[in-house]
Amino acid sequence: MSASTTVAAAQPAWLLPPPEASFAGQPDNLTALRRSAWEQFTETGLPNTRREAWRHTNLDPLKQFAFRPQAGDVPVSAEALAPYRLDGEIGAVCVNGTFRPDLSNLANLPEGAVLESLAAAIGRGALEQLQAFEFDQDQPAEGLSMAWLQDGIYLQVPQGVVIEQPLHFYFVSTGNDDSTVSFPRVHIQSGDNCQLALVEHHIGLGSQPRLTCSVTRIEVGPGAVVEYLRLLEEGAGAHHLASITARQQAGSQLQMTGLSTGGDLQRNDVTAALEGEGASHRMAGLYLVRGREQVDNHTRIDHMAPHTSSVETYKGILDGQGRGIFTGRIVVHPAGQQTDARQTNRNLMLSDQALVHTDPQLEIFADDVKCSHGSTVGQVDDEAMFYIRSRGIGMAEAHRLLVHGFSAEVLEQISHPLLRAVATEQVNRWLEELPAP
Amino acid sequence: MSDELKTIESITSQEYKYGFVTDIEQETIPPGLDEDVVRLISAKKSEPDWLLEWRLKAFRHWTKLQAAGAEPTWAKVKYPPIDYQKIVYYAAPKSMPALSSLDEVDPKLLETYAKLGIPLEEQKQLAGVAVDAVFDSVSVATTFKETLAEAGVIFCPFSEAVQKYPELVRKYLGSVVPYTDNFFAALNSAVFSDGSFVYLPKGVRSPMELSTYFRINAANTGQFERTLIIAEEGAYVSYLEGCTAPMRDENQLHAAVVELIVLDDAEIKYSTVQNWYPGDKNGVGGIYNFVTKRGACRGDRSKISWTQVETGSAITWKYPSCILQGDDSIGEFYSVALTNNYQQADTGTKMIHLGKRTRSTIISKGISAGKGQNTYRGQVKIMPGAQGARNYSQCDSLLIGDQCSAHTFPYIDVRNASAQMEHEASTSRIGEDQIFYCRQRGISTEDAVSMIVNGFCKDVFRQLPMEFAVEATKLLEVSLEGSVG
Repeated sequence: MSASTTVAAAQPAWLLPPPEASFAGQPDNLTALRRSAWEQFTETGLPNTRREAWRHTNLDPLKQFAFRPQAGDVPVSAEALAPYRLDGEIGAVCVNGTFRPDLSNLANLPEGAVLESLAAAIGRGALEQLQAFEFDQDQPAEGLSMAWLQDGIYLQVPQGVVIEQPLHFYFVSTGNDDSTVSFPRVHIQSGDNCQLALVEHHIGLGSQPRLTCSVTRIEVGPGAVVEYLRLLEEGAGAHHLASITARQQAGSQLQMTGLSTGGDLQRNDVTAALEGEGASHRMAGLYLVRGREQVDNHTRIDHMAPHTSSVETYKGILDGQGRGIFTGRIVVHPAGQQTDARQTNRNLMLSDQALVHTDPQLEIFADDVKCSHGSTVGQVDDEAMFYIRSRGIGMAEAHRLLVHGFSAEVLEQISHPLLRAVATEQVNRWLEELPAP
Repeated sequence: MSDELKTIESITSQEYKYGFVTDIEQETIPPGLDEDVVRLISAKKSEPDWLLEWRLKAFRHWTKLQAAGAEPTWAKVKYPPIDYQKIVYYAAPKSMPALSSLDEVDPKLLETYAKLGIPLEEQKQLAGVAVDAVFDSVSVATTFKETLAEAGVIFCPFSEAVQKYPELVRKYLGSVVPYTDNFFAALNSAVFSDGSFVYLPKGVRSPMELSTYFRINAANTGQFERTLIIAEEGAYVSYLEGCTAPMRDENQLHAAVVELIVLDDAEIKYSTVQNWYPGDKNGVGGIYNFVTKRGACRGDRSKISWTQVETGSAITWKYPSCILQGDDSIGEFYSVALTNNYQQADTGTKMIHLGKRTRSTIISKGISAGKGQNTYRGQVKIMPGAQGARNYSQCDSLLIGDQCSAHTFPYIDVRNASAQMEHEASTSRIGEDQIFYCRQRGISTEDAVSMIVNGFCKDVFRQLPMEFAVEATKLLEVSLEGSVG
């Protein structure tokens, strides 16, 4: 006990102000922004479990790790990424948070669209867009990521451009000798009536403990159709704090799906603001948890304009001593008349030691609305099991089939076939290791 | 639509019907709270030393909480800070009548009850309901004592129980809601003045429904009653409580504690119709109803059922809960909460599943009108030992008018894979098509709204004893009269 206290008392490097050297060569306004972000972060620091939004997730154990930002120019072989490549994809790769043109493949990018390193975009004056979103005090990744800002991916799709090939953003963290912290950022600007499908893929290649503080901003212009898939597959030793924020203008459609398999601790804050009339949103998530892993999903959907709709589906499968947490909030603002919002959270418990906290929440300030939420926790249905087994299918296989069936509802919602395929593969990899009941 | 709006206005402008002050001589102590006040209250009731000690411990704990700024702020309700030194902690009608018969009760008191629609005389004939009326903080009349005594049921004011059955009170007091439980429970434990005590020996089914009526009368008083119900093995009781307060401009504090203890195969059914003064249509005045209610299903196959209809109070803040300890025990919670004008309600339940195959059902119906704010907040916790536990929750909200709001915050923690938990919630307003359908058939908008609201609450009203169901339906009509569009 006393040993851990002494470790916690000395702040690790990633909780100290970023070193002066990291500001070298950056424009003054960025330096000012980073310093003020650090100020904002220190106001609250790493949240403790007394904060409502963090009641079930304790970040104190993170303080024992001396995470350090790593160089982005470490060698990463093309083969390491090969298994994940999609046909005809437009691939952009960040290693330890730094954009790597050598590993990226932007050949299929249509004319007019801009896909580049965030540092380059800031150099061209895109800094304002970094500030276009409110700073979420409840998510420490926000402040840390801005304070340590080095690089990321910037995508701008102008009016009317349709990108048929999937965009694939890789965030690779390495570190076989040292604990790594990285701060990847993604900024997406989609103009009027454009269309795109995007995968944000976090992959861990190192063996040492890692921390990723990831921030994603998506602006969806009027009438634009955007599909966004977030894959987390970082393996043992990975810790992930993410803040994903989207804003939707009139008549736009956005579909966000998050898939989590692997990683010691994950916390995803997903927020969508439906600002324009008639915007529609689909939010889905699948968290597969085993061992002593923990996944904490916090979602919030704001209906701020009339005739907006949202459908939210989060599903969890929990094995071992896994912990799954879901807090979903739907807020209908006074202007959000004729809102139609549905939210469901379903959890499948495969083990007695697993734990689920589910807090679906509705906050409604308008009267002409249709809102509902539902949440369930249950186990594999004995009758369904019997049915399959009576047809000559073995115990382990039957179990896997049923678990797969449970996850299918989320996977089927992914519209782009290539995106669906890559997500399904990831789920299958997890299922292969599923022990028989 | 304009017609509907007018109806809404006429309904919402309905004044509080029970706002009259009964002019009875009251015995009060000066406002303020310190150890002397606690000692004084205890002395006035000639309490034994152990109870005074307990009160003092509670008071010291409360002082500590207050000094630490631990007054809870997490609920979704807003109110100016309460000055606990301005409250009168004890108010009793001065001339305590001998209680051998109703004739000896102060006629003015009886008149009060008559205005409230529950005349004791009638109650006496209305076989099946015994009334223990709590006026401010002291029980003044108890009927049907003999019938109950024959059956072996103890039903008496709390202070009387302290004198007559100290060993029972001492054994169970604070065993479900300890004084350290929360800020208001600590305050109540220190200054509670009276309440009801019910004890059912082994195997006894109460021959009638028990009922208590609470009324806050004096200005600036707080009502801190304490109810303790114990059902021994195989016993059954249905207990009703009703509440009103006269019109007072200042907010009055009501911080009660209710403890239920149920042993093997026993059952307690606890129904509340709460109609405290909600404040006027500008949000001035009204009761702060901060109540801790909790029942422990200690025995196997025991059952607790909470039913509440909350139409009053400026602020309602309560979570009747069940601790399901015994195997196969059952917890139920049925609630209708209505908020109109500036009323705020943050209410719900807690179901803690500890025993095997424990089951719980939660049905909550929230209705918001005017600028009312209605929040459901509930917790379902299934602990590792609760093999095969089952929970079903349903929370529906109905919105009337465009300035009210409805919120749902369920907290669900499951730590056992064999548990089955379902939660559903919906929010909607009264559909124009529904109104149209009724209007088409010659039903006025107001009647249509009343019909729809009653239909919305049916699942809960069905749980209420007959007399209460009628009263609850009436209350809802009064509170909403014509109000919906």
